Amino acid sequence: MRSRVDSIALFALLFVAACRPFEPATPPGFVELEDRYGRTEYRATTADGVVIGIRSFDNDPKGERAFWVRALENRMRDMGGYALLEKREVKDRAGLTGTQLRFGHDEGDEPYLYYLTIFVTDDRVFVLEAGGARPQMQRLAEQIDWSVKNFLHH
Amino acid sequence: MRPKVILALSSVILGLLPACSVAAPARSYAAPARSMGDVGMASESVAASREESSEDALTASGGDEDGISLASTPGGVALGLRQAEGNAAPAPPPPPPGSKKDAAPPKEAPSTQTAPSSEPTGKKLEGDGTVAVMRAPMLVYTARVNMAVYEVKSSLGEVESLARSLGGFLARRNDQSITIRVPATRFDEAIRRIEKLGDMLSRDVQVEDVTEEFHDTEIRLKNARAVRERLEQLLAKATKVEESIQIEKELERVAETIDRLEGRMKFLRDRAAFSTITVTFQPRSSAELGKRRFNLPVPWIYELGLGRLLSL
Repeated sequence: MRSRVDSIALFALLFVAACRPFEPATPPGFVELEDRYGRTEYRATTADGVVIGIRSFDNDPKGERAFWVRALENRMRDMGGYALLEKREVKDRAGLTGTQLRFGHDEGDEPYLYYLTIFVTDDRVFVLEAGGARPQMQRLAEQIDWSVKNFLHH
Repeated sequence: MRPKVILALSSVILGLLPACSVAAPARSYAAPARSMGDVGMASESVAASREESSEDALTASGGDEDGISLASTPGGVALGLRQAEGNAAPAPPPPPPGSKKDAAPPKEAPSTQTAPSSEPTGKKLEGDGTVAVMRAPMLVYTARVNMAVYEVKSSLGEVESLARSLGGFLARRNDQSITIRVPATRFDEAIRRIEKLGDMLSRDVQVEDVTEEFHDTEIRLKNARAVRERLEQLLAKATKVEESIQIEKELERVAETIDRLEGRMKFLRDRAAFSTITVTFQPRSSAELGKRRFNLPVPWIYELGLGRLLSL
């Protein structure tokens, strides 16, 4: 009896540990890179190097979406030299409103695009990234949008 | 008797004739006055009239039929000169008597024209009569623009073409930055157009007033030229070889000073005429940011970017 309770507790612990605080949506053409990243991170890539990633962090210091959007925008532009090309509102599968920042940045002589999408709840900040060379990113625009629309936070 | 009277009258008439012949051009001086010589003559005539009584002055200025309006106080001299010069635009209303503007020459009038009005008559300029020379400020505009690193190659090319289209030129260019010179009058336009080329991260515009330095250099140059002239005169009069050598050495030194001052003036003129704009395509350095920005104590936001995302 005692060993049975221990087993259930251990299973529950492992389940919680393995469970991500979000549910990613891997679009067609991408493969998920499992087991390489922690529980709070997700990555998927295409064969020609467009990568999408999702990470979640504690909302600490606790801030509204506008706060985090501004913080990321400042960081990317000022310190990274990224050009802010567009800023738009998006929604995840549960209807949570987020903000997508579309940046451009040269890697060497080649122009790259980098999309940063932020969803904020009381407890968590979810950051969805997508990046790659501009032609590939433009070609996969629909798939990337799909992965954002079908992202689900917990 | 009669022949004597006739003779006397004719001699009187003949005696008056020269006066008439002088007076006639004096009246017609200003109407056609378009050349500097004519203006100078007008100035002298008016200056002479100022020595007479005010009634005479008014009489002399009553030549409206010649298109001149000198019926004002002596302050109207400048007015008369302006009219004589331009002879096209209506003259502004005369300033109130005794005001500072009375003594100040019109901005366009060369100083050689104002001098005769006081010097030949020996009149001293009053405290209020000081000649104020207004100089437009000589400003040097310099801008440093920091753009996001995106489509750098094409943006560099666009900045260069922009400079040319505004009448400027390329001063320097490398892979990450470009320096252009544009006419100062088109500086604002250049900045506005650069802003549209991409995401402008920061802009630093500086304006340096070099009016005083330019004026000082100009005076020093004038003095140096005067010294050179005196030295040349001394050299011409020198009888001893030692003296000549000494003067020539001094001349050489003064010539160097003149060259340097002329160079400096040219440099200042050039900097004021063409503004310098440097456009850099790179993120600001952490040292630069450290001076102005705080770092949010959230480590993960510093881990964002293509570098990390694409390193699988």
